Amino acid sequence: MAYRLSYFDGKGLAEISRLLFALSGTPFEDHRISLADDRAEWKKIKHTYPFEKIPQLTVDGVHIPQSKAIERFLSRRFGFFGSSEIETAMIDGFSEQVRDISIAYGQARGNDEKVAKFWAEDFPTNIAILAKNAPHDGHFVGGKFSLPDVQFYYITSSYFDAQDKVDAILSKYDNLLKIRETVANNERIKEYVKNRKPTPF
Amino acid sequence: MASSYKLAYFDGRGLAEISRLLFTLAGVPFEDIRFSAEGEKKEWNQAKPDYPFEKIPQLTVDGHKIPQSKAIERFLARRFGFFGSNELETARVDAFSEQVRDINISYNQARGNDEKIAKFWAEDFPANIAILAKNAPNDGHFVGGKFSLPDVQFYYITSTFFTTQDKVDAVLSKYDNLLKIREAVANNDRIREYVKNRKATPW
Repeated sequence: MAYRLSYFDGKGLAEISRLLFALSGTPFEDHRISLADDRAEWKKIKHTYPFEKIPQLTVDGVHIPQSKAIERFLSRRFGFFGSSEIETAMIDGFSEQVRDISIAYGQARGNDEKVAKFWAEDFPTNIAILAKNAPHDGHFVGGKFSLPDVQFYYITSSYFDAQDKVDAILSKYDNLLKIRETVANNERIKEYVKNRKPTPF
Repeated sequence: MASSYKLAYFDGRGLAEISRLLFTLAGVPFEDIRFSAEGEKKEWNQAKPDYPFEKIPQLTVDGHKIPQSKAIERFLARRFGFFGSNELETARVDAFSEQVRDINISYNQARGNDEKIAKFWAEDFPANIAILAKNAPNDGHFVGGKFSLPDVQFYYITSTFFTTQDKVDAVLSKYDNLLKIREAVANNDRIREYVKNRKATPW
């Protein structure tokens, strides 16, 4: 099984997938496209990508576009997406709840008033719901790693510049801190993050 | 034994309608719980304690409570055979589904701002549709020659979601394969019956 993950040379929409590969100990070709010269390299090759977007995962020659479809595909492969239909749905539910954070921020960014409301209302409310529903064993579902654990870790430790705002809200919830910690302290994740080269995003 | 399903939402189409269409297409009965969306939403506020994620839609399946409209849609799609028959086919179905969803995501980022909405209709929507058209087969379905989740989502967003239906049709008219997909859902007998009997709501 040969995996190739294509994306820009940055974390962005590909980093959660890279973390999934890392966590599962699965090798993959980390294909990074240069941002130089106003993304000249991407403009040249874009038309060879069926959905003309990255990230794109290529598995034994088959192209899979769309970051979330890729994350769910890899999660299923690596056993991070539940062992029954219902468990899968709960994992998916937590995953969507975490994703709502990015979606709400995406709607607010660029507008100071909306960003202020995001930090004052949307983000705390979302976190409170996660905290209300998360167990206290370091994982969102089933006492083991699943996709939302990794997504939550990423968005609460690597995504926002205003990390202090994130931590201020998270500090109230031991169970969520535990989940973030469980991912952060995983040996493979630690090694991956230690060796990850810094990029603008 | 067949599962029992309860789908709870406001009395409107909104974030629950795609799930209702999935039940309909599959011919699976479900309890269609609707909370009044008027005024202070008293009904919903009273019921909220029974909803762990304090949001609707929520699907209750044999007692299990599943939140989040997209998790619900994918669960139902999997159950009803609308989510691919192997890992790779599932990923392809999921990718088309996300591509269709990008239409909502970019519209929601634009709404309320006239300039952004103009850009949505002039650039984002046509660009997204062009990608779908480039990758969709010509047989009335996005994947595998049969109904799958993105077919229903695409049908919904291109026929029921926008008030400016004329803008949607103007862009879609260029692409026979996409018109075919919308049509395949719209002309399905179960869907036709459901839409015919659906009570009109503001959204």
